[in-house]
Amino acid sequence: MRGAARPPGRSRLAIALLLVPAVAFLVVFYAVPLWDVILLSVTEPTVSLDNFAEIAEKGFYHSILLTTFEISLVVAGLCLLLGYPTALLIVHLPANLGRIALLFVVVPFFTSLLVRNFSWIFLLGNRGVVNSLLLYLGLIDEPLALMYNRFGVLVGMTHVLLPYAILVIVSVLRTIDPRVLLAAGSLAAPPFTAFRRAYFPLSLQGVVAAFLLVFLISIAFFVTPAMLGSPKEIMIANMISSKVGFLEWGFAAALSVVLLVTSFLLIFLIQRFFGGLGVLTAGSADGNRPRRFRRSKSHEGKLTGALDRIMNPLWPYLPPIVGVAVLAFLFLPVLIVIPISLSPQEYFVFPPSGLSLRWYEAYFDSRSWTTATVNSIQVAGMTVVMTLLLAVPVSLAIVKSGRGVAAMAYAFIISPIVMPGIIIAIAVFFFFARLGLNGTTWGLSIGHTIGALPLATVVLCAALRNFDNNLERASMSLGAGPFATTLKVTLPVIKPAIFTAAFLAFLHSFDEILIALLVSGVRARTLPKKMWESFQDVDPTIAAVSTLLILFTGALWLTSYLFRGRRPGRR
Amino acid sequence: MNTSDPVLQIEQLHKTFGAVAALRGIDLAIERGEFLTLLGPSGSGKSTLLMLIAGFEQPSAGRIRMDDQDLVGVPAYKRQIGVVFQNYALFPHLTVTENIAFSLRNLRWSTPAIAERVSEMLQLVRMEGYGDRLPEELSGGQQQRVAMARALAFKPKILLLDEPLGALDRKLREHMHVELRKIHRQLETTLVYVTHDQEEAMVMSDRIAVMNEGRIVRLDTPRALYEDPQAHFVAGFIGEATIIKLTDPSARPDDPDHRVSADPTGKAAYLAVRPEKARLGRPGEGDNAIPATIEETLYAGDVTKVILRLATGEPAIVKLSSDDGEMSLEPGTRTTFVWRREDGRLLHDGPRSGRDHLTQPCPSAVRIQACARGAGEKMPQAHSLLCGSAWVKPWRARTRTLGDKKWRRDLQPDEEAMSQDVPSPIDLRLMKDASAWGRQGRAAAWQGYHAQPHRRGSRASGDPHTEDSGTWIRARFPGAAHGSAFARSAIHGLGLFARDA
Repeated sequence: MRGAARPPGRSRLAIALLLVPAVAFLVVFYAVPLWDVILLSVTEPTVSLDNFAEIAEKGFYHSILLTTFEISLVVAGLCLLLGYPTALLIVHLPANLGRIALLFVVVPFFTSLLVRNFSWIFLLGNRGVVNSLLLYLGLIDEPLALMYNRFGVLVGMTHVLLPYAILVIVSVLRTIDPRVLLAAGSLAAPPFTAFRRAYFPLSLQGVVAAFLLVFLISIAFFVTPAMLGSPKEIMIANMISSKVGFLEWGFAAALSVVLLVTSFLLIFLIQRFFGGLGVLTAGSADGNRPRRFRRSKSHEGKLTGALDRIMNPLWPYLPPIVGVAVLAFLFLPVLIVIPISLSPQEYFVFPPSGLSLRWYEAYFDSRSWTTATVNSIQVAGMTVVMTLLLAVPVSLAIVKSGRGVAAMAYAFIISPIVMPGIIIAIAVFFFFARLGLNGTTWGLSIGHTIGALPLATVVLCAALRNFDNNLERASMSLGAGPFATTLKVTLPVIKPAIFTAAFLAFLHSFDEILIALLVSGVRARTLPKKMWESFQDVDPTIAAVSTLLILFTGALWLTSYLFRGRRPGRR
Repeated sequence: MNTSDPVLQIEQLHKTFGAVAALRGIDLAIERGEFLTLLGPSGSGKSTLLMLIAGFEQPSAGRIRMDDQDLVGVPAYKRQIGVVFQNYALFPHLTVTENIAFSLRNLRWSTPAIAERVSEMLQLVRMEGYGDRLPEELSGGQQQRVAMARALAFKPKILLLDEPLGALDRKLREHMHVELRKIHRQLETTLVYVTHDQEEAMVMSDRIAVMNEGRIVRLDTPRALYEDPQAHFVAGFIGEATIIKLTDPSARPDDPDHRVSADPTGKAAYLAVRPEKARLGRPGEGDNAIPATIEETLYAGDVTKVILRLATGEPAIVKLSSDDGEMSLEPGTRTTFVWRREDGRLLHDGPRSGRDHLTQPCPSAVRIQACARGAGEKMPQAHSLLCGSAWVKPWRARTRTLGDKKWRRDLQPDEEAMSQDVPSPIDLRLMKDASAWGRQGRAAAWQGYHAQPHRRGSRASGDPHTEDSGTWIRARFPGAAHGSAFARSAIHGLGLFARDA
């Protein structure tokens, strides 16, 4: 009954028409500019390979590349080590508790990147919460150097990237039948051995995917090294950005090419040997199919035996302890901005000396803050509209046609997910410089749509793949044509996914910093850019802004959640 | 059905998906107002047929006519054929009322007319008072009723039901059987019902079309199908039957303990006996009998099923009323399988008759075949060890630029070839008349065969050579090769072969 598995057909023309807008958009604003970056790297200032030669020759750039990889590797490792037990805990908690635990991951995940970095400044600074507390308790005599060093960067980046790792691993663990552990137990495997031999191999795709994702984001990281690190922690993205600032466009382009090549080499190698990309791009856990690894023979040896002996008694306690600690680590720092925003002093003092709203007043009184906020909302709104107008048709086309051109279109449209943000940012910046779009809200929202489109497409395609094709067939048999069916049945049924896509697009734009830094200029300055500009002299106004942002994100999420869950109107 | 008034006529309907033929020439006339069931195992093509009637798929060849209107090419939404899906496919975002009114809105009925029709339908399926509910607030049985009401609301000429009761539990299903018959009687609509549940088909249908491997094996009333199955497949699929091969030398008509007589004339070679028509013990005058050993006894309340092994080696089944408790039914007991001569039914075909499709060409495709035989044996083609076959569409075969992947997708080995081991070395027959394809074509075929990564260990010895029975190539495998791998590579080679022709 192959017929039952095939979605109702759509004409080729219709599919082409649905595909064209999104593909054309990305070709013009993403593919062409990227190509320009590559060209620029060998044509600026002269047509030569000088830029690459300089990168290859100078020890300075070597050390930056080395730092980038070192930090990324450690962060990715930390995220796996901490994320896996947490994911295990979340998956194996009873449903209600699991949902709450997941909230502890999702809330930081959706909280603005800048807010989270500011939180760590408030926490780790010399006069920050941690040092103040320790001084107050008399455990130390002078503040510890927790920030503007490698430690601060690692903490900050791990905090930002852990939710990615946890969410990816959770999505994969959910597909594993937990009874394999019971089965292994009944076959005389103690807890850890059961986990290691029966459960872990099934989750390997998720681990690889999580590692890949975290590593990819890490090597292009920009905000945290700049905010929490010292000059020693400068990473490649920071270098690119500063070269753009010095107008050395060719050199910035060359660095971008190096980053680009590294990223794709990495993706290729990992995909080649481990797979895992499927988990990221399938939009659901469908991509998680256990792969047969080359070492299919049993490799039980002395090492694993020793590991089992050590871990077996500890194992039942490990996920809960690590998990709870990680959840606290993720959630609490986000909240620290709230008491700080309400304190009357310039700096954090323990114990707090009272409540005051002066930092909120400072925010609302400042024209530059409020303008930036309005700009941000405007840009994000435009991004949402553009993203949905492009993503809904293209998702319909991709899922309905399934293979051939549509599959290629899907790969192309989601490729910005794995493209380092700084590269998209400078590509767009160079391109807009020619069109005169820099410094306009249009330019910004076009730039943001490049990144928001793949997120929305993944969400919508996943929803459409789960969509019951019989609904469309039923609608047709009841006299509704293809267009009426899409409008009256398909879109209303996937409405929750459309709201989720809109939410993600909004947040993507609202939180985006790299494109904003380069493209927005003064006129179209967004909130993240304004925050970024004021991090040199941190004052609690930032805490007030951060608190408002957290509340705003929460409200946004709640609205989209309510819309999703709302019963359709009864007539 | 003496007076024929077909509402739907299907002629020589074919449907292929890639190289898989889902329907292989369906001829069917559906009478106005009848309850027709398409019954068959999964993969028999019954759902595909339904999809074609509904207009969700287009046929590869053949005609569908409804009241003298040609339906081929008419999109589903212009056909006025209602469909009830297995999973109901109620629109989750619309209330019961809105679901039922969906078609009426599309047909631009007036608001009062819609309201009237909706309440009429709700009454018909006894769901009054549920109009404001959402589908998720209804039980499975209720959803099923709403799906019925929705499909019937616009007065379709035919209502198609695709295993609509499959998701319900047994008790509810039996209740719905009665309900469905009632609705059918009330509305006098033509119902076409798809199911794999023979019991369901028996109790509800006016006629049953038994389908297997893309064909209608038999079309008749439930009683006729059960009492005189005629075809091997029908005897086995509808109810249970003991099937006895009549050519067995141990069956002697003159031996009182061991005799079988039916009219072994014509082509009939098999006899079917329904389990409730058979008994155990002494044969009387005019009875047939075969000695048997009891293998298993299954007590099912009203009856006791006894599984036996006949002296001929064939399995047999008897249903006894549970009241006859005097007989010993212990496994291992020797007894005699007895039935009245007139209760045996001749079958007009062998057990594998459903598989003759290998010789039936599909209209829009050319079949190519790969056969193999033991090395050096000069066997006529009828005795070839195994065969793989593939359908190639002519327009594909002419396209030289197609990549290999396309080919592989369109070429499917025969299932039987997949389940056998291949001895090594083996001779591979490419084509009966490969000489016509030229030497270049043969070489290409062989390269294609050889290029298969999983066959890298195999080796050709000598050039392809042509003899009366076709063109053969000898291949050596490193070890015993499995039929599936063989068939795949052979067929891949043939794909290239056809391409270069």
